[in-house]
Amino acid sequence: MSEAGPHKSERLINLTMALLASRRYMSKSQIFKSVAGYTGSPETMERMFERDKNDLRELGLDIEVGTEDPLFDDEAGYRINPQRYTFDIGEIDSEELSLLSLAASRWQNSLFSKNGQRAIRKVESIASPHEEQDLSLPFMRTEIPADHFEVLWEAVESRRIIHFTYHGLNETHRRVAPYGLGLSDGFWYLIGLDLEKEGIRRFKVVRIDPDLTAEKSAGGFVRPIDFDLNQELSMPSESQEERTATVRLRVGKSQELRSIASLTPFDEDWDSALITYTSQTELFEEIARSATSAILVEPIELRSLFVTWMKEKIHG
Amino acid sequence: MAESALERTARALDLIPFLSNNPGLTINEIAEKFASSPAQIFKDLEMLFMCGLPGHSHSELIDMELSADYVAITNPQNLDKPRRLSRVEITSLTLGLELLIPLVTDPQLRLKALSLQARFAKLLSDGAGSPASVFTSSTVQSSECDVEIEKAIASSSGIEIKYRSASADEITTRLIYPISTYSERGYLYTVAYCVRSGEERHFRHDRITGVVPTAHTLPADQSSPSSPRSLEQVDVLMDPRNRFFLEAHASIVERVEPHASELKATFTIGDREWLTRELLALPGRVEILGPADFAEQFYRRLDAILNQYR
Repeated sequence: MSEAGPHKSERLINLTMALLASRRYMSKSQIFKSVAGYTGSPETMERMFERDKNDLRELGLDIEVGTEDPLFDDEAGYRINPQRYTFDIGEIDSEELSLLSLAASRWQNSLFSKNGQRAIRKVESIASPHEEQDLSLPFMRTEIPADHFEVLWEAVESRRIIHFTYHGLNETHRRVAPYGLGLSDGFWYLIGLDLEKEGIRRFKVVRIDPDLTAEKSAGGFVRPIDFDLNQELSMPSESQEERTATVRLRVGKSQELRSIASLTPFDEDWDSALITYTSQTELFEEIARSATSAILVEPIELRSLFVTWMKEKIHG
Repeated sequence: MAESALERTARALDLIPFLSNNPGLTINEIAEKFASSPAQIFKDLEMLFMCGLPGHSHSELIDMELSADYVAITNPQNLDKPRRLSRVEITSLTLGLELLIPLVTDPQLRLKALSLQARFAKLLSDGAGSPASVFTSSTVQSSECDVEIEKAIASSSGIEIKYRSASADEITTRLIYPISTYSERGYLYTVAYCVRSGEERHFRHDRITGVVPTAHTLPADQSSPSSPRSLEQVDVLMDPRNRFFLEAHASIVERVEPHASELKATFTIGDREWLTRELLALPGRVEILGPADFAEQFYRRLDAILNQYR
């Protein structure tokens, strides 16, 4: 059973202070003798120390193992390098601290909001005390992912293969080596190697069933060195080739299309608009939103594609 | 759930350098900062009183002044520096800055934010060595009106805007009193009291085609929000490709359930015209299940569009 309560915490803090203070590697017997809290039989203290060491490592402390004189078969000793215990970010002024607080406090995502606050407390431990400045910047609204976001983050960080049901066009079962997570235009995505389809795929986190499992063994895959997560995330899903279409717009109406068109009067009721577009889907959507205030005229093939697209609403 | 000894140790290790650098806080202030209870913080500090360097003599212990309304660490021993930042802590800051940067209009402040982001990102590569696992490609379209709106919020004054309304499909001139701004899916929005409609409205910045500052300030009797618009529910059966639309408008989607090979969605809306136009712009089959008069209007509209091509 694991220990709880103040005694264990007290001992862990004493141990941290001792390992930080020691210039030399401390042997276990030195630790048991000088660090308050180690009591009982030698076996009990051994077990206590093994657990304590793992616990401190879990807190992110870097415990070095070594011997003072490698030529002699000395007992292994332990220490914490003070420089690797902390971090160096240079001077932080009050405006920078306000920016960081803002960056950390605006997360609606529990994993990042919790850890952001923790990070701010650490930064405030080194920055000169300050008055919070009101920078009055807009609030960011991003998707608030469900709890399984934390499982995904852990899987990415420990490189564990995950299995999940994906609610895409159809419901499918996926086995994926998760390479990273990305926030794009307000939505979270998981990017990884789909092990069944043998290709890089992008999955919307909101469509990943929360009932996902991560394989037990960490380090289950290697992310290729040349893999560029950011590029993968921002990759356009449609071709970016520029094309033009002629659309007739009712005078004084269809404001959204007018804002991107070059216009010439057509008759009393209509203007003729030349529109440059890259996404056919977006053009169709905007023309449809204009309802009877826009008519797609040319190219003729595009016009008939649009009519078919509109008729799908009735017949599928 | 009782917290583990490890969580307690982590907080205690963070308390010492924080309090060394920020002396004079009250127990309540510390508890708020550390998202804990005053009683718990008091216990933590009592425990830290007992901790020290090997030897454990009076001069080797952590020392502090401790009362409910004044806490100061007078001797932190060798715990005067914070623990290093974990990968997820660094990511929370760098990614948060990344989202913030497009919203910063002041060039000097923006430079500062960029340099901060680079400094923290460097900690990530100095650490475990593996590259960052989270990225964002979010961009925010900035508009000429951003700065004017910022000024109006700061001075609580009104501005006259020309606005391209999405639902009415017309350009209107309105006097608005901006309250706050936010960004969502690449666009900036202003929440403002709109004199014309007599209620709070959201305005997308790229649809604002002109801004004129005014000397008006909001009359007190108009600042309280008026009664909300009447809402109604609309049931729609749609092609599963439109899951994207439902996710993007999650705040007005009451329910979504699979229905044969399609999705059945229930919307709660206050603006029929807006929903009609959005549904016209969706791919695949769209069937309005009710209310009946909404369905009738929708199909009449769809018919009128198709008639233009006959």
